[in-house]
Amino acid sequence: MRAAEERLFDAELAEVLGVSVEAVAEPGAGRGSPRRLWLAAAVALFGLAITFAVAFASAAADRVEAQDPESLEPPQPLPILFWQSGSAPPAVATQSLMFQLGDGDLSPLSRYERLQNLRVFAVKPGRACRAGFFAPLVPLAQLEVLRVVVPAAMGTEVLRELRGLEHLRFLSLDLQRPLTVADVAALGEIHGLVSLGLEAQNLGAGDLGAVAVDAAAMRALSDLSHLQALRLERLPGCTAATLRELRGAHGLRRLILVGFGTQPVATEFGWQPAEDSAGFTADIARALAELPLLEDVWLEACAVTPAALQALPVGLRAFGLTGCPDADAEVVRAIARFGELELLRLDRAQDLNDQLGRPRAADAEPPRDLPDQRAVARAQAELVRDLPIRELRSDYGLHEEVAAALADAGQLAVVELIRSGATDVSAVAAVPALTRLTLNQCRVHADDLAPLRPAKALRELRMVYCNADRAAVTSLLPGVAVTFDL
Amino acid sequence: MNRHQPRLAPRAAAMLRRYLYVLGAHADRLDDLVQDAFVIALEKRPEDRGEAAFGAFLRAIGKNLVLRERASARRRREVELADQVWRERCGDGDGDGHERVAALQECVDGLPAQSRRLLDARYRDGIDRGALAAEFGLRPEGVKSALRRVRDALKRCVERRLAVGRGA
Repeated sequence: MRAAEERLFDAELAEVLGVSVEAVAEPGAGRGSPRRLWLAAAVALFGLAITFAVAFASAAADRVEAQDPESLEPPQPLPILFWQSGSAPPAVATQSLMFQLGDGDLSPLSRYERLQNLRVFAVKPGRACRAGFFAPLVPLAQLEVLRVVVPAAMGTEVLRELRGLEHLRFLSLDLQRPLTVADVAALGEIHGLVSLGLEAQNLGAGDLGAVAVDAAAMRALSDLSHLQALRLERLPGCTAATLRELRGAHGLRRLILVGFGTQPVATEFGWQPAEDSAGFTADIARALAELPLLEDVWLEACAVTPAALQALPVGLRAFGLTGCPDADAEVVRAIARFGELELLRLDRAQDLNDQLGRPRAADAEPPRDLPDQRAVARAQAELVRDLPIRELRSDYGLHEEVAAALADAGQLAVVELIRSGATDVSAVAAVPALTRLTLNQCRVHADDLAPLRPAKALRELRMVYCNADRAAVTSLLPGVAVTFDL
Repeated sequence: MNRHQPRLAPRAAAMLRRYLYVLGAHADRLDDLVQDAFVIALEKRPEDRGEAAFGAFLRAIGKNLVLRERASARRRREVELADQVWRERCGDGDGDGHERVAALQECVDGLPAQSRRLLDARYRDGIDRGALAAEFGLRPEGVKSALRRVRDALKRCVERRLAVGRGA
């Protein structure tokens, strides 16, 4: 970053001489003369050509998930394999693994040198973890994503061993004991940690109070200098006062809150919130507004009011409201105030029944307390039509009104449909500037993708856990880079 | 208005101006960005923070403002890298870079008369290279080289003074 160094010197010299920075900025210093720019462009083009050639050659031999170093999306190479300790291990080449811990020993994992994404379950919540527990993971040089249970008996010293994982960037802790200030300090020793999840997923409602996060621990998170994303799931103690302690976390860009407050309909679906939470309140929103860099808020399974959304920073670039079936049209409409929104995450509440495996007749009535879904659909459609979103992620299918609005979403270029069907694919085909489409767990056949053929701007189609025939899809969409992750 | 502001503002504003420029903000935008950052910062009870923390808070806001003007991931990455340069040079967290400015002031004051005249004439008085070449008996390209040597000398001088200050 010689250019930044030169700018620093220019700014300092300008201050010393009492002149504007323009007066001291040398065109040839740090910015490049026209001749240098041409040379730089030529070198860059040459480098680009070599990069493409190398990438093309290596892609055929060994496909590795590319990861933008700036991205806050954890890499998730597919397929994700499951391995229960004591059973036969999966293929050695796997990059994503869910490991059920049997005897408190992670050493069987050291064979997976290419492991990028690992989730560790514990059989017994109270199982002790001795010193050296994480040591078998240290040789895994590509491990970027780790989700691990923190049993009640796991001490801070054991957590500190995570600093040995040099490439770890995304860490989620499923807490079975409170997070202490010392724990957070230990996490601060993980050099590249950009994303942290704190969850209390696997405890019963009566046990949740035992893991409540306090203000001191939350304040300590501010010392994680590289932290850019934080996920708090069903964690007791996350009041406005506690969350306000995050205001020292100057680098925090993304906040994902899950399980804040009771929603009657969601409870019917079996989702339990943090037992002491009053929901995503205006007070909490005002606390979040004190985070200087916050640009992405995702509320999942939260009780939300329009007033709370009104209290969030208006300049958000990304917002999500999913798993919130109790949110009515007024809540959805309040999202419209985020006039600079680039990424929007939505879902369709009625189809949540599918997630539970409940058979639902075509003429089935929605759950009794579900808000008016036609009004919700109209509000969602207004967002899609009126906000300058470039990216839309939709779960459980699109309302008809939303599907119709896609044709008017002039800046929309990237769409991900999760658990959708063929009708939604047809609707997405009408997006004028669609360049990238991901179909994730969608019920589609190759023929269902025919409406995408006229989508002139479409360059990439990713099929994740879809059953469509590969050859048929590829031949149907010439010029589109189609990838399959099964 | 908070009790720190009368003493803090000029130094903090100067620091923020330097920081924003390092991040790549255009010189034309610096005044607006500094003002915007102060407006945001002063709304959020700066009296609760110490001076150093207030400076760090201002920089975080300033960085956010710059990032919001950068649409592409590449340009946002450049901002992050520039921020890293600031942290390395001016100190992580509480560093406001004032130590560097003070060192540079001493280095400028200690320049030989001819070099100081060249610096002032070019940067403060805005005299073009042709006129300076005539004054100093150089070719226009020679003026450019001479300025570059003065700048390099100042950079080395600053690093030396900082190293001495750190006891290296």
